[in-house]
Amino acid sequence: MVSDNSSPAPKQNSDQSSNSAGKYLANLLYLATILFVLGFIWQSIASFMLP
Amino acid sequence: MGFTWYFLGLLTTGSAIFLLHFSKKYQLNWLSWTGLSLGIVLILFSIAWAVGSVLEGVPRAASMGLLLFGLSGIVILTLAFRYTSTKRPKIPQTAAEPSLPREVAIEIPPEKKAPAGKSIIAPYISVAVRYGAYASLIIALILGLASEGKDYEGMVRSKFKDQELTKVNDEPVVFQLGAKGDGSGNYVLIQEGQGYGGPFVLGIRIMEDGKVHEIIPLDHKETPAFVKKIEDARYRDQFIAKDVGNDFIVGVDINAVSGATVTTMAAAEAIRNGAHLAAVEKFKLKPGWKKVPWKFGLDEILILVLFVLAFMPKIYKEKPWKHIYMVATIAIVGFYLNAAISVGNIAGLALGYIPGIKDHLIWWILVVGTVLGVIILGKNVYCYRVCPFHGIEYFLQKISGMKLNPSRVLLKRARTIVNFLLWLSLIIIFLSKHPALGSFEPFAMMFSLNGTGIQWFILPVALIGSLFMTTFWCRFFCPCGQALTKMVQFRKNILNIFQPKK
Repeated sequence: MVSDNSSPAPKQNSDQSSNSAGKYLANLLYLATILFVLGFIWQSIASFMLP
Repeated sequence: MGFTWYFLGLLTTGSAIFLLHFSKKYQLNWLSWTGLSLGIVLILFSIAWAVGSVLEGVPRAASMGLLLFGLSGIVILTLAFRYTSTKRPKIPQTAAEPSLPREVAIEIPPEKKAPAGKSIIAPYISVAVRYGAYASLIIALILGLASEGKDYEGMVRSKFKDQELTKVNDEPVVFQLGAKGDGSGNYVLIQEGQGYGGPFVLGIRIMEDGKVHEIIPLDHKETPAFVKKIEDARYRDQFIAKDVGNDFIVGVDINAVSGATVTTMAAAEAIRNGAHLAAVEKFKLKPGWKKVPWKFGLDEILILVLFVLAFMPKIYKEKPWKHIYMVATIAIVGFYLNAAISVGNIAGLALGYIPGIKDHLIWWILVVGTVLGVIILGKNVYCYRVCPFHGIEYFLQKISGMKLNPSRVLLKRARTIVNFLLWLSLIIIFLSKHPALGSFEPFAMMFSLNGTGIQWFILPVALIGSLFMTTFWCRFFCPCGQALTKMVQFRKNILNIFQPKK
């Protein structure tokens, strides 16, 4: 992960992050972003390989 | 579409149940009801809009719908939620809900603890994967640099297949239409200009009257959305019928296309090179055209000031300067100049894609300045300071006030995942020699609303994620930030080798 040298690192065990609904939402957003990034990379590979 | 309606029905019912429960917990006033209801309606509407747009094949409209309605809905819902839970009185619960009988209650098994002992070969595998990744990147870069580009000559020949085409020069390639030395003065020159993403290759047809008659696009490494923009604006038409002795300088005798200035400059450079070569070599003209002037105006001064301020901790750390500085980077580096740097810019350096300093001073200040900052000072001055997307993330997170985090399982793998995404991005860029193909950052889309295909969906999820998680994109996904962090680490490792051990 990219280090943030100007602002304090977020507390991972804050009350909100321990909330299970919040965790589900965070997981969902994290996985959705990975999915779209991989989709973009796949699209790039396809456009590069295909004439 | 049927499934969408079913899903929306489920969400609407779920939202109504949520509102009912919430109204039993807090004394909702008109503001709470309006905020919560409006937020939910906007989110549901954005989902319906996005699915409909995707099915119609317009991902841009889907993304805009998610951003305009979905993000506004989430912001309104979050603010209404915060207002209600902090300002509105709670309704006292009269009776405790009966608990489930012991025999039906679901027992959650205790979390299994990981075995204490680790595999002996695991560290070796980790080191092998790391060095394998570095080696593969070097091989990809060498392969990319050694690979032949597109067959530009073949492309020109196929365009003029009905005519005799004679190659009269190799470097740069110049074709004469007709037999060599027949004095027709009818030429096609292949030339390139350097853009932000890489070279822009064009064929320039110049006829015996000493005027440009046709511009043939052959190849480019620019962001496709910017190229589409200049094509839509019929940018090439400006050059037709101009004398080869003209200046061909954007801002002098050529008009830029708003929002794609760098791309227009790259194309103009290619045409200028070709036209002036023909003017001197073929039409025996003396160079009377203007030289490309230094482009140093208000834009360059603003970028220079922002970059210098990034070295002052008081400015980027202490309030209110921190907030003023962030707003300035969002407004200037982001929306005004759309000059946020991406992994493509850094990888482009390795590929030798370096635009001229005279007319791309902003690129030099940001990209070369950042890389020099890493090499000389060992500091990444771009991330969390100059980067306008970080400013957007910061203010979005302030709106929600939430600091969520993905589960521990995902957090443990987050570093590996961002490293893998960086590696994948660099491999694609090096092998294709096309920086835009591997740059998956949503920066250009955010600030100019230009994007292609699935890229449209990265921006909404990145922004919504930033609303709930601190520096969501920067920490978990940004390949540019990760590349700069790796460079800082690499410098540190190199220095450690040469420093005497105490």
